[in-house]
Amino acid sequence: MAWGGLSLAEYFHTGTVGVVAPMNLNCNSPVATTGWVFWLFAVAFFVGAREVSAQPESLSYNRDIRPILSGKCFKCHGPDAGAREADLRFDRREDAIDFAAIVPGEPDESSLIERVTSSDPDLRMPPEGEPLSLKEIGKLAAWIRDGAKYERHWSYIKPALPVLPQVRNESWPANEIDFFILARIEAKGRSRKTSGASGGDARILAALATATLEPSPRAEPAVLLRRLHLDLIGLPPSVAEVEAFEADPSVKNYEAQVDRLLHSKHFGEKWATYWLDLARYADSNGYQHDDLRNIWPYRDWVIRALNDDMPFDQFTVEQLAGDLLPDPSTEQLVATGFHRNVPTNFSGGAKVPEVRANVIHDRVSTTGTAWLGMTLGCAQCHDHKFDPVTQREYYQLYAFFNQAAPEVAMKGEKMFKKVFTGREIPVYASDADRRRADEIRRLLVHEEQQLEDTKAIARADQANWERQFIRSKRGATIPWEQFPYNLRNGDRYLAQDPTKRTPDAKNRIDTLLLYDHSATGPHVKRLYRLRQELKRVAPLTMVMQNAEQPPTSHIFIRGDYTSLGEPVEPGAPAVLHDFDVSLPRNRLGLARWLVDPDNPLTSRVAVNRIWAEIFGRGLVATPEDFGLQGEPPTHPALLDWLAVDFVGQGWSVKRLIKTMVLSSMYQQTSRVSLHEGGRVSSRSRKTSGGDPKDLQHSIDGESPNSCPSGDEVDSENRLYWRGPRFRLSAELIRDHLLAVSGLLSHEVGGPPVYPRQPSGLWKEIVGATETRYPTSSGDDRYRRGIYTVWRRGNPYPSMITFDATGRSTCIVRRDRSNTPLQALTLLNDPVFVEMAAAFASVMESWNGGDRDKVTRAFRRTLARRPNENELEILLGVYRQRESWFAVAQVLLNLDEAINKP
Amino acid sequence: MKKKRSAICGSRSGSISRRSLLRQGTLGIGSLALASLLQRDVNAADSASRQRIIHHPPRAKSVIFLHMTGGPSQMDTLDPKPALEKWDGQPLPEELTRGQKFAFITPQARAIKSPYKFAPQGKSGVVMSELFPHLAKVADELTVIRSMRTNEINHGSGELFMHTGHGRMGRPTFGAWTIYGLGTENENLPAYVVLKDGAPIAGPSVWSSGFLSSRYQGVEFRRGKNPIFFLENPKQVSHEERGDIVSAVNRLNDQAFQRYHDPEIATRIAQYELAYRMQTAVPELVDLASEPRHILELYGLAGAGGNVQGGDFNRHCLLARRLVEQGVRFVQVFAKGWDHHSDIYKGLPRSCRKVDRGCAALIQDLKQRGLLDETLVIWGGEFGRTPMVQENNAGTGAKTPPGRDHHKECFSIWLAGGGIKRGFTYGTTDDFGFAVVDDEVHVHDFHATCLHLLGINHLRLTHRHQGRDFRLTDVHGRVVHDLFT
Repeated sequence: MAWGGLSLAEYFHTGTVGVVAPMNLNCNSPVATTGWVFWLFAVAFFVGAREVSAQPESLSYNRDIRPILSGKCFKCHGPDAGAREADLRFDRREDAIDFAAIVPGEPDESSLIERVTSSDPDLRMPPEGEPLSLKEIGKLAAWIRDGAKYERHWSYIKPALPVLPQVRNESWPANEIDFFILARIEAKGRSRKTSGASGGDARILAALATATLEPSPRAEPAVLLRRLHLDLIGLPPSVAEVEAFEADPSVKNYEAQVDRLLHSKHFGEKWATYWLDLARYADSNGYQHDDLRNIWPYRDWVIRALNDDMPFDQFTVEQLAGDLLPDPSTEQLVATGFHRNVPTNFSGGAKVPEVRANVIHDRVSTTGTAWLGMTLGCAQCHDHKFDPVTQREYYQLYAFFNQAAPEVAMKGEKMFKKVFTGREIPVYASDADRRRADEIRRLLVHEEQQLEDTKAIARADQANWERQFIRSKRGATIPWEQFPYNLRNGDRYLAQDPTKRTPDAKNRIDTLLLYDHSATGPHVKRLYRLRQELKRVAPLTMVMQNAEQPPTSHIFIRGDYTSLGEPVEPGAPAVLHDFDVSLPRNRLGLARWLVDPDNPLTSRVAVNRIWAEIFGRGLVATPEDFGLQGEPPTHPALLDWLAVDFVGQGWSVKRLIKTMVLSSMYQQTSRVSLHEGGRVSSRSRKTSGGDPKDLQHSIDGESPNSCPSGDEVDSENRLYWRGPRFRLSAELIRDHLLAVSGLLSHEVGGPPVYPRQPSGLWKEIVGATETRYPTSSGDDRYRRGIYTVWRRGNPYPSMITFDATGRSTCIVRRDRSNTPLQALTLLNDPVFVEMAAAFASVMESWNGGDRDKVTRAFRRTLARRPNENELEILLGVYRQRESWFAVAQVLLNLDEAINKP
Repeated sequence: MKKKRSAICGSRSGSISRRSLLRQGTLGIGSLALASLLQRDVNAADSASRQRIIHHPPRAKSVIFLHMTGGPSQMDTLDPKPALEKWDGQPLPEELTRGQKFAFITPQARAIKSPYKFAPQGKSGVVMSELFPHLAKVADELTVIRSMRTNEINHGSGELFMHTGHGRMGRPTFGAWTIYGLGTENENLPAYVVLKDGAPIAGPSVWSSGFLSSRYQGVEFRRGKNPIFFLENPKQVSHEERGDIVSAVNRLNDQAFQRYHDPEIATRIAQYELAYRMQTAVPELVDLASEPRHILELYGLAGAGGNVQGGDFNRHCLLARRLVEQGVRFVQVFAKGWDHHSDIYKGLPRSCRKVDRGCAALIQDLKQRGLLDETLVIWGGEFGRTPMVQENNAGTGAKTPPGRDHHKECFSIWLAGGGIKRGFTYGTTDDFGFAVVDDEVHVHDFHATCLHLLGINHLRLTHRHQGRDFRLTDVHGRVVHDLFT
């Protein structure tokens, strides 16, 4: 920052300027307005000049001015015509100048400055909320003095390949990323020297006065390999893999490990999760009833696409518009499940047009968030308040999706029932399945005919059958889950006088008769079995389809689907690149427009999100918002370099990830210690970062050095002076601990599974057809978390405890909370208890002494070797409890076990 | 992304928990990491404790929200409509019903009168129907609002609207916003507890933290002595062994803290300590048998031989009192069975009987302990019911005994305690109980008003999400100062 982190007020307190001025703009200042401006101007100039000598950067509209205008002014004087006051807008330079709110070069003449400094509460802007700080006013004044130059918002300018910055320690960078990172780390040290710190600790201040921040050393090999495994495939390395890497932790072998993991079939399982959050993938409809739906083939498509390293532009086009490609393959159709994942309201009084409007709004805003990092949803009811997106432009995007076939319809006359009307297609795992499905369909026709032919026989025999059925008590053996009622009700219907039964009861008894009667029963049962098998060999999945006669789209006045405004045609927001005339005005055109190399956002948004997956936070810390209210990138040039490189290299996600993990920055230790790495050192350290070929670092050695740590300079690691360390996602905690315990099933793909959960939860879903949770048996109990059934209205509880979401909306960032419920889950949830028991039997089965066993178990959990204290604590547990189970529980509950190291 | 986080479920005052831990030191472990963390906090004016958001002096410290899921009928309970006697059996005036949305009936449906007697109660003369004989005894403590209004006519979206101010999933609830703003008063318990006798239709979304951190979501207390999932040790693990395991985990985490100096590790150490303490504290808390006999009698829970027996709702009322007494900020109670589409004159008295005594007991009990002044009690549904009759089953179309359909244009709730006027009735509706005439209190206004009582300016309790500052009241909300003492 050009102002070096010092407010004007602080500045005065240091006595540098030697003027004591009233600090509070809220008080009735005796100073006349013009005097204020002059005074501010003078101070701003003074401070500015001083800073310029240290950091030759002048005020930047994007960095320094726009956040103030956007945060304090745009709400009433911005892009939203509906909310604009006094016909003044600051988002366009010419309008602000026309109004004389800004007079370039003349802060004293600019009513903007006059109004934000006014001592009259009725005049002072903004009318609500905190007044502008002195620092902010100073910036505005200086900026106007310099000519009030506007810039386009950074993210709407197409990224260009930046030049690599100069670094002093040229031996540290392993690839381009490191140049950008190191240049900033080194600059931080320099700027510290000149601007000082505002903290109060004299010792640190003294040290900082001559300090340079340096990157941290490389992580020890075991830790590094575990980190790499968790990042690339979400599963831990085996002890043998760790030992092999420890024997040869060279750059070459490290890259070989990266390649091995990028080719693992588990890569897609790990990397699909964040995309499925964006795609709001779930196995149920959401809302009231929340019935299950079949769309897991879409989830498997994402896993496959990632494993195959499908280029991101193709990945985009197939998901948004696979159905509109010429002669689409089944795979391309399955991909369009992306926008069929929308939650859909089936509840009693929900109106069909209302459901449709909600579904399409969701598709617009999800597309905006996932590809553009734009908060389009804000323009649903009015022009966007901050970003240049009008309400009309929102509905132009809506029009693309409004071409889709209706999602739901009423099921007949009864307004209670709704059905999906969207398209479903079967998917086959193999040709054999496809052939079998065709055969089953033929058999079904045959059996249905047979059933029709025999119904009369059964019905003629109904009275006799009823007597016999009741007498035999075989009602208890009927598989009632196949019927729309249970044993008790069945008995009740049968007990009724046949002439007094309601039509409903008659129908229900008829289904039981046909099932049970010797004439029809065999056909009914065969039909049931065939249909079940057909579901298995030819599972259906939901795909997109356009209507033959799409409705005209209109602006919805105030976002209300019943208040139609002007009609609109499909089109893209004017602030971005042009929608090429050669593109069709449908979803396919929209998808191609999104991945047009001229699109300034798509590539940046994509690389930023992948960065966030690995480093815990995006270069833009608001990955869902690259607009004017989002945070600016911490490393803008690096973001642009990654984005341009990503597109230039054919949108390869695996290549992008490889570049990130091969950087020296990624390989740094994540220790935040006083004695290691990230040191702010007043002398040159031979080993700091060191020669990248020098791969052996002593990590455990204690140093008497008491230099302040990087943590004190940059505790949030925004400069990336240490490696990433953060808690694993809900799914990965499950996967990792299952793998450590030896229980994990490595099977990839397939229908959702039902690991154990507290009983009775699904019974609480009101109005749902499926209320029984069919707990999986066999290996399906130990599948990876990504395969756990995702019921929106009642998601798997231990996943929610670890911040997975209900997948009701597009989620870009999950929280990483830290709660006692998490402790209780890992300690007591039978699923995790079972893991500990399994891990204990593994330990028992090992040969060797207690010490060896504990060491091995520790390495299996955390990869690294335990130190002597750690070993003693664990041996103590074993001696005290005489139980490997207790040791296993301790290991599976460690903070390190659920964190990326 | 290394924010200091420390919370027991909803707590935000991390440093307090760490300090009290040091003091209490249940297991005497983790002290090194904690001491070190405290050291760091001294200069930084602790990031966690300053998060408490109080904009003005609060009237209420905690909230008990008794939600009657399904939507109670206002003209049979709190909003007498003698004019319906005259209109009984006739359609309402067309200009009233034109363009209105109903769930299952048509605008032409015929009006139906209430068969219940209404009378002024207590000194204040708050009017309620004969269906609430116990509640009538505490009428002088209540404010009845007859002019509530919502946007939604379906249960799922209506419940969501009542709790999150938005008809679709994904937003934080009133309770989540409250603890996001205020934190907790008891570090050993969740700040936001949910008690229910049946699931609301929107499911866990009505106690979800939405886009706020999941630590702000409600924690459901289920029946039985271990009301929180996974509170109980597995059979093979004794309490003593659990202590040893937790102690070892934390000593090892302390080692990790020395390696990484990551404040998250210190927080996790604290959370394991808290989890271990909750294993004892929570079962004690939910053990109603420890209440004296006269209290159990008050709630209608005194069984033979000193046993506790009685309906879930009454238990939940007593438990709610015990929870707020222990410093729990927000207790959400759901009572099922108010969706009287058919046979309302059989169903409604039954539903009222189920809750009448518990509600009255809760208010009396809070009052005698001096807790009523600082506890806001809310009773109501997600919407009201139509003055018109519904006579057909929504699913099958079969003829049914008379009931009432969902209605969003007006409904009645009551509030008590926490700075709310005593013995007061607010808002008027038309002769039919169809629409608000004066002093409308939209759900957004209701939220703004409740937050105000908690010391929060609803305009300033915001969270940046997807580029926008969201708040409970969206872009609406009016504080109804007329309701305050």
